[in-house]
Amino acid sequence: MTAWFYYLLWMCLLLQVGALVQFGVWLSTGRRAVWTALYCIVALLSAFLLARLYTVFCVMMLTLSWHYKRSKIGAIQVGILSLSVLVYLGIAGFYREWISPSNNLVGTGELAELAGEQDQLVLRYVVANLQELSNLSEVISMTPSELPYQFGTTFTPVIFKPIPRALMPSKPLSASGLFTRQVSPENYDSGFTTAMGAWGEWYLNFSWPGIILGFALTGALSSAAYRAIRATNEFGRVMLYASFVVVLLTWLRSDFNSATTYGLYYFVPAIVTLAYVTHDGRGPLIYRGVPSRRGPLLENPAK
Amino acid sequence: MTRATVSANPFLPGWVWLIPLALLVFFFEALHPVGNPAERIVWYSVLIIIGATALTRLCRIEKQFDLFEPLHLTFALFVIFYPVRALLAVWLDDAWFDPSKVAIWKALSASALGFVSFALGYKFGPGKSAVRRRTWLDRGWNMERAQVASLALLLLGIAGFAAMRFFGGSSFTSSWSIPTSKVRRR
Repeated sequence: MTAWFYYLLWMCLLLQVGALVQFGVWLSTGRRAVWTALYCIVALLSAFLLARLYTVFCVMMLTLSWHYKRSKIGAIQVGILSLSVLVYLGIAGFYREWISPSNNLVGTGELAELAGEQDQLVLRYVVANLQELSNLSEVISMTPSELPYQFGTTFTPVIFKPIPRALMPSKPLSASGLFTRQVSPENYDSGFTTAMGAWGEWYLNFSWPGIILGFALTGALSSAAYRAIRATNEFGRVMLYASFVVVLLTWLRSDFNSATTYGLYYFVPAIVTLAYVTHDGRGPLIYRGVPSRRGPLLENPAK
Repeated sequence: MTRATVSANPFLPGWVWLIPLALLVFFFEALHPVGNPAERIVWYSVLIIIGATALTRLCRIEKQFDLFEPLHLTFALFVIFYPVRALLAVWLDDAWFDPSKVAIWKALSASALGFVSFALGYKFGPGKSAVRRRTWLDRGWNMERAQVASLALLLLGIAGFAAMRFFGGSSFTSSWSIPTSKVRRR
């Protein structure tokens, strides 16, 4: 199961890409509103079944599409959305722990008490997950005396990703994996890692120059990606930009290996689908661009 | 044309002077030796937040606020993960957080340095001309194909869930095995 788990997980995430494509169809034509709502609900439900992070990704990609293709999201809506996500993270974290098989009777009693205190819920399931500062201070204090500089090896796992670890046990570890193995081997053996963050990863590889140059490079790449989406306003670009945002946020929060993994999960199906739907060698009416609210601009390629 | 873009006042607007002045005050408050370390780190965190906000405003590409501009997203995550987390740690009296430790100060400084580098790389990165204007992505969509593709992805996704349940017993128990940030610090 473990060997195949990530491939199955990838299949599950295809639902989100499908919902995004359907969302693009609706934004372009205004047709199939009910189907679009259904696709989006199924995608959100499926994301909830997987992990809180995927739900946030799904909501974010849909919101981003709405923002660039329908109407801009302002500061008030951002505030409301952030508050809703905060509440969701608290409740979903609580629910996860409640249904966990490792939850015993004593734990259930404590959780029942906790459910009555919303602020404690947020502290336990949201604030407690913000481990980046703690981990960065730990990395700085232990590198290079206990953990040597990695000089870029934590960026290489993506190259070996297609090879199962069973066939190549000496595959390089991700930054978070390496750090967790150092500070908490028992948790690492159980399959858990702690989020290191891009700051920690750059420091672990190249010390202070790594933070300066690495972040400058990341900023330049992000600028190029953003300018690319703003160059024209096609939904294909929005889809790819949504995937890029997932990659960027994952890297800042976790590490490069996780970011590239999510990148593969979202970019590969998005690019394949876009190549298929933009293949306009045949077909009746093709919609050029995503129209304004006045209606789509139709074009007949047969002419 | 020149008259329309040049201000009649030879001095910079008041707010331009106010920002470095406020930063200087905060910097002095954060680093002068009086006061306990917790108080100093609170000042330092507030200073970082104000400085990062000003830098974000200076380095953004769009003239109007765009939530999904990478600089804003990075700013949000940086502020939450580092200076705000430090403030929360002081407020909650977290056991791992010891403001008298040099590593904590170094970590906060490293995070601020990273964000400053990001903002500068973002501002002085490739210009508009470096981005190709039209690519295959800009071709129109064939809506029939788009619907076939979304349906296929939906079915594949459902098949993935079914397979996960078949192999793992439950999609919940399977998803628990996703290595996530569950490790608590020592």
